[in-house]
Amino acid sequence: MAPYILKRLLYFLPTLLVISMITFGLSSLVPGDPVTLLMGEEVSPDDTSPDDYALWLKDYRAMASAYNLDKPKFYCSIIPSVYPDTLYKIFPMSNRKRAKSFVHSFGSWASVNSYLQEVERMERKWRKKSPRPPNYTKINSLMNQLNTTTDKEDIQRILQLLTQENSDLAIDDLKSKFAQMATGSRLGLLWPKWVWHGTQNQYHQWLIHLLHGDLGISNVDKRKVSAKIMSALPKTLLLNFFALLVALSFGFLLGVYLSTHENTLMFRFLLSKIYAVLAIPSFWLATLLVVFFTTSDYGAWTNLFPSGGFGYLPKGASIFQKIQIRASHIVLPVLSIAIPIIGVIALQLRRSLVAEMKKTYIKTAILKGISRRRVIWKHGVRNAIFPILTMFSNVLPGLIGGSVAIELIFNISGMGRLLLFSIFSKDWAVVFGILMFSAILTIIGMLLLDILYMRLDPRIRLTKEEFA
Amino acid sequence: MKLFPQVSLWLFFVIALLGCKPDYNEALSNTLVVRITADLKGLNPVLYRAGSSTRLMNLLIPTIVDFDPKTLAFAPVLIDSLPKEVVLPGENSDKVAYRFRFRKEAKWPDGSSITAKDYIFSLKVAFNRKIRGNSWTRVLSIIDKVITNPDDPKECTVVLKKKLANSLGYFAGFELLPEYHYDPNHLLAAFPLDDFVSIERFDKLWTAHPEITQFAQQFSQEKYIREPDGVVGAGPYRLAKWEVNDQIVLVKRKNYWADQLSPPSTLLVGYPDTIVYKIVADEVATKLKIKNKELDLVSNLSASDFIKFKKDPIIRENYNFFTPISQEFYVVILNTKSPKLDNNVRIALAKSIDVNQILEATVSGLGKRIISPLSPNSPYYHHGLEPIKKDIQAAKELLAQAGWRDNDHDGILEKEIHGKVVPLELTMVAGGTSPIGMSSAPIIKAEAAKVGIKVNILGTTNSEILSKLRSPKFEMALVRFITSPTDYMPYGSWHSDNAGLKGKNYSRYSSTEMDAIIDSLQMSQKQEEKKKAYLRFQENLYENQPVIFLFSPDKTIIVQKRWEPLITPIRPNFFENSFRLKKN
Repeated sequence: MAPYILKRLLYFLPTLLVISMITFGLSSLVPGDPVTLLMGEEVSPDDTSPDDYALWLKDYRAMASAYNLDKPKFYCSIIPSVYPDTLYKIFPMSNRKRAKSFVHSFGSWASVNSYLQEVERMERKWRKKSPRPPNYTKINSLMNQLNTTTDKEDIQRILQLLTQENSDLAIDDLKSKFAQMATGSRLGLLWPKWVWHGTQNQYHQWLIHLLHGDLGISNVDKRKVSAKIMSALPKTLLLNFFALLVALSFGFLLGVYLSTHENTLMFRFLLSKIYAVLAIPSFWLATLLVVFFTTSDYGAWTNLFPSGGFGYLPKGASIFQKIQIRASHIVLPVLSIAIPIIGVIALQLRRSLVAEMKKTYIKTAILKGISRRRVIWKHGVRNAIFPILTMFSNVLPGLIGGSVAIELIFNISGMGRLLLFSIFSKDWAVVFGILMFSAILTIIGMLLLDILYMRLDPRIRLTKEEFA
Repeated sequence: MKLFPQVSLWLFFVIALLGCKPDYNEALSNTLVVRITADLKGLNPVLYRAGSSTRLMNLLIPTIVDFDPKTLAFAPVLIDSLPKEVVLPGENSDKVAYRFRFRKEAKWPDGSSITAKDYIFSLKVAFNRKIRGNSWTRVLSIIDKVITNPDDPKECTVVLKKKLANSLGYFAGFELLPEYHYDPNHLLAAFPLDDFVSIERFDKLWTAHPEITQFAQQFSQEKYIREPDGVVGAGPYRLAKWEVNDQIVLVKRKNYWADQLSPPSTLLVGYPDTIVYKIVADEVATKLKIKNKELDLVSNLSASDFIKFKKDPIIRENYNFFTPISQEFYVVILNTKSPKLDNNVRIALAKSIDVNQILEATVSGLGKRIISPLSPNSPYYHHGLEPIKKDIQAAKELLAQAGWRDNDHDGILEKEIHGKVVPLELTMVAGGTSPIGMSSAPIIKAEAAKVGIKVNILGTTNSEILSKLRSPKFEMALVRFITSPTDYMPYGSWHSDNAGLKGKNYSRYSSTEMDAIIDSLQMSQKQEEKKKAYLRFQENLYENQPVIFLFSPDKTIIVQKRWEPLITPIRPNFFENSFRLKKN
């Protein structure tokens, strides 16, 4: 068995690697500048002066470097031949975008870079100018336009206006740099080039951290993603453990009952109810339960459960009190998760049990005088549960991932709510951390299922051993 | 096999029976239960400076001065009176300096006095650039040095690099940190503040002394961000519990120093014994909790829910309803440098929008029209300027005067600009997470179409909106911003210095007159001069409409009747520490 498990694990490794690449690729594609997200909200909105920009840029570079965002994304890249190899070193990212658009408009990186540096130099000189000339606002406005536009005609017009303003700025230098840039060829944009970055890239660093169990840092509150997942996971696990317990128990009893009472009045009644429950989305069922059983709106007797949360444990509460508070909070969410699954299990078990009961070994057992009840539970159910096991291997990651709607409606801070809040707050590090975590769980679930199959069914074991 | 379902069913039955009891309801005692919609990022004021969490943070770690919820002006919190400008002798005589003194009663939780040493320590933290995401460095960069008095450890004199009209809000508007707690190993004590203030000297300092980096790492640990023993300040409450994404519990400190103050400071009182902040995001869950009286204070309700709750007899019986003015404004920013958006087009757009209709459609009328970025509560707000009324005819005339004609009769105006015929088609960036903003955008689009302007809505996220505003292609954007309750400083948003890639003058508005007004506001101290300048500032904006000011939605707050609340225009519009239980 051990070689088989080892072999399966080896198969899973490349799968995980591909998933990690897709996850990382997706996290790199999200909109917005990750460095400014990490730096948090900008303060001092009313008194900022352009001098503060230098300070801000220093902080920006430090933050980018701390989180490896100053490195290239992957081991290699394919870029237009006119791009510089070190484009990823231009900060902030808005400047990188601007540099790219200049290269797209004018073609040669060398002349674009020289022009942009001249604009920067001229702007610095202008900001330090004292005393301010009477046409300060006008020149300021033109300088700002020069900074934002990438349009050739616009730049020409602004340079002409700046010359007319007699600003003492070295416009001629800028004009010659612009002329040099404007005459560049854009042909180089058509030719790609291959750049090798080595292991000093963002993906490699991310993967190394991942292998050490570090899923990264939240963009929003800078907590470790793994810590966030670990604080939410126990609540989700507790809910789903009880939900599974209830679903399996009711599902099994119902499934066996349906398979042994086919075409009776009760059978038809139960079947219609199961289909009705399956047609209700779980978030709607949860809303109905919470609305009807947590307030006195529909009679005093309906105010049975608290309306949500995991309960506030008062200081000095006894163990019994604590269990009582927690129990009162999980009954409705557990039912909301379990009820739809009960229907699925019951129908699946009924189908496979009916088929199983028609097999000759069952008939033989009955003919041998073993009680029908014993035959059903000891032999029939045991062999009929394989489809349910398969179903659970698919459901498991979803259950651990949490039910977004149920956790939101019942205000339970589990995995589902964590995922939702992270999406709302654009905390992609957490979103992709949960995605990676779920992928690993899916693979573990599949492995466990394989092992379980082998334990329960000797025929599968034999085949696997032969295979191994 | 048969045993499993039976046993587990019995187990669940027992749990259900145990659970069939009313919830333990904390909203019975002197505990104030506040609903918040999302968890806080952290309770370390240096690392996390989000508007919504500031108030909660200040109950634990108060600032030196803060806005008084009643007078709406700065009031002393940890100091005995507001800082006074002083003239220093000798080489500092030409510099701007302020002097203040910490209250003689002011103490840290360990019983030690709050002194100038703590102020200097807090500044060393602020200037420690090795702390990743240090949000204070740039704010406090106006500080040049601090002079202490050897005869009076509670006295501080702060020397500033430059004078700003709102200097007080910077050099005294931040949270004071206890040195004994945040630097127990005295890692920073040996180094003078001057080494932290200068960037060059700080770079030499941290490369030569590993203690600086060690402190930065220690200060950024979870302990000083979220743990009850780690978040410590001179506030009336202590952090008792933080269950991430669930609830935050604050408990009143025993023998709290400010309890002896007479008269008591509104910012330092702590009437509720416990304040529980419950995170409830779902509207249905919130409604049920309100009905069950599980929440004492609920704010940020949507206008429609607020009105619905007001009509609900059960809720009305137990709760009071408040709609104070908020500091949130909805505006349409126009790129004044776009050749399509000259003065006439901007004013025509303003005249084409029926703001009252937007107010009704988005916030059920719970809001106020505004004409400038100043809060209507500000003493400098221009009440003489009427909000622009919808006038389609006048808008059409303005557009015609500017040369816009519908020559091809497709309903969109055209004009020849730089030799090309250009249709009056504009892209409006809108979105973020604001439902009000998103529902206002289609109304603006429909209204603009009536005067021949085609508006295309470009939905975007909060994280993207800044880059869109700074993009060369930017034309117009519907955004929400937060204004100051009193002194509004227009330099960042309206001076031509900030109209480039790096500034916050997103409308790229530049006018010689506006620059002169702002320069005078930066320097003027006299009330009359300031008022005159502010009024002219608003008139300039009104005449040129670089930004169309739409409305300020009212804040929607409901409070259980058992409390006497303190509701104010200052964010977040309630001061939960001042809530008192009604006597009967």
